[in-house]
Amino acid sequence: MKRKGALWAIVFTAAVILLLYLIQQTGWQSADMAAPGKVLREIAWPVQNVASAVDSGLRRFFGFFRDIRDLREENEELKESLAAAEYWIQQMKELREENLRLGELLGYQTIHSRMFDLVIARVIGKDADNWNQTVILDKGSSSGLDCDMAVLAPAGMVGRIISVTPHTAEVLLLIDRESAIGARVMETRFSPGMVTGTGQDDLLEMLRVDHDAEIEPGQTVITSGYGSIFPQGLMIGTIEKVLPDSNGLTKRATIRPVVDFRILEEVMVIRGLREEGEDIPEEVRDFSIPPDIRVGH
Amino acid sequence: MYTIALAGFTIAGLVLRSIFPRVLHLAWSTPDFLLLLVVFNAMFRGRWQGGVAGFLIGLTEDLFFGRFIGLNALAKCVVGILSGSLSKSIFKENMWVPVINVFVGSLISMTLVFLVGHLAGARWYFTQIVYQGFFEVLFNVCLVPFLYGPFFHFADKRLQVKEESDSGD
Repeated sequence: MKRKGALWAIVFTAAVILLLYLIQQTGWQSADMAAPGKVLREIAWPVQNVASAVDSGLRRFFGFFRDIRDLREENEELKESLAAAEYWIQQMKELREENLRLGELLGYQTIHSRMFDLVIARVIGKDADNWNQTVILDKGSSSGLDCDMAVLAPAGMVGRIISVTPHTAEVLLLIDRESAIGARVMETRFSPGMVTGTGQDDLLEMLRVDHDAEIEPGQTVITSGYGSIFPQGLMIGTIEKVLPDSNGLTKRATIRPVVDFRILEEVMVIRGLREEGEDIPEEVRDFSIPPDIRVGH
Repeated sequence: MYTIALAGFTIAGLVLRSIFPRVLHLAWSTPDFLLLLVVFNAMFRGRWQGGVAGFLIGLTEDLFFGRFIGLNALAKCVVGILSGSLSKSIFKENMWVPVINVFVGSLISMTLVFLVGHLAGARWYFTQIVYQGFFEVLFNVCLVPFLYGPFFHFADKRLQVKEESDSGD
């Protein structure tokens, strides 16, 4: 009886050790998600898609009745917004033309003089397990998506793709602790370092900034373009606070992201850079990045 | 039949958990439907079957999400064993029993996931876990009155049928 108990204890301990090893091996340091996970997600994808579509349909249906009293007023507001948007698009075109001319004059091609090859994707699932800030998109490798592609919302940066299946892609959001992105202060062109997530929906952090660096609340933070994932000049957020570190040598800044990560519904994935002269697709026009970012500096 | 239904509940729980944040944007937290399933099942099936079911449900969850495979399997296995240990000494008809079981099970599961995840290299912050964990436990406990009744009737009926057919053989 004692021997049987000891045997069970050994088997149980071995199983736990094996499990711990498996957990460690399939953590964040692994390049991609495990193959069985891809299969299961592919199986669940149609269900998620249908559930997401039903959810959107129901919300639209009930939203119609809830908002019907405000429709007239909203219509007026939309007309005004449309007029403003048309003016804005015109301004953008003019600025783009101007930028191209100046670029030619200066004799260099920057990344800003190109348009992005974008794919619009719907968010069909969020946050796998409450511990990490990730979302699942309804497009995957069959739409040309791949790991490490940058993901945008109309307001700015959202994150990067960390795993793909043929019909889904998992995006690690900027607000996740595992996320890190090279940043630059737009006003000063100073690149103080990396912006990382805090795990909170509405806060990012810039750590270990030199104590004499020229950063202050209210400044705009954009991507620096260092590294191969994120193009430069995309909006990240606004510096909210600058606090000295206890060591006296460095300081850190808290950043309010421009994207509201709680209400992500549709995003754009940068598949690549479109060369000059190609037609800009309709979807890109609808989701244009603010002109002060796209036009370049 | 009971096992097939349990597998169906597991898939439904996974999909629900995946789309839940689209409906309710609360603290980036979702109820752990599978934990409820593990606790409820263990209350009816006992320690060992509860533990095995917890392990398999947790493993399915890990495979579905694709990272830290084994983490939820371990946590839910422990919760299944602990909840199942009480199965013979509790009064299942009393609604407070599953509420307390789910409350304690959620805390144990979250603590295990946090500690083992940390050991495996996850950079989860304690404050984040407390904040999100609070809502997860709250959601889990709030769902018990709605889900336990249907599960009780289902399990009571199915397991009775099974026992009768077993004794008939």
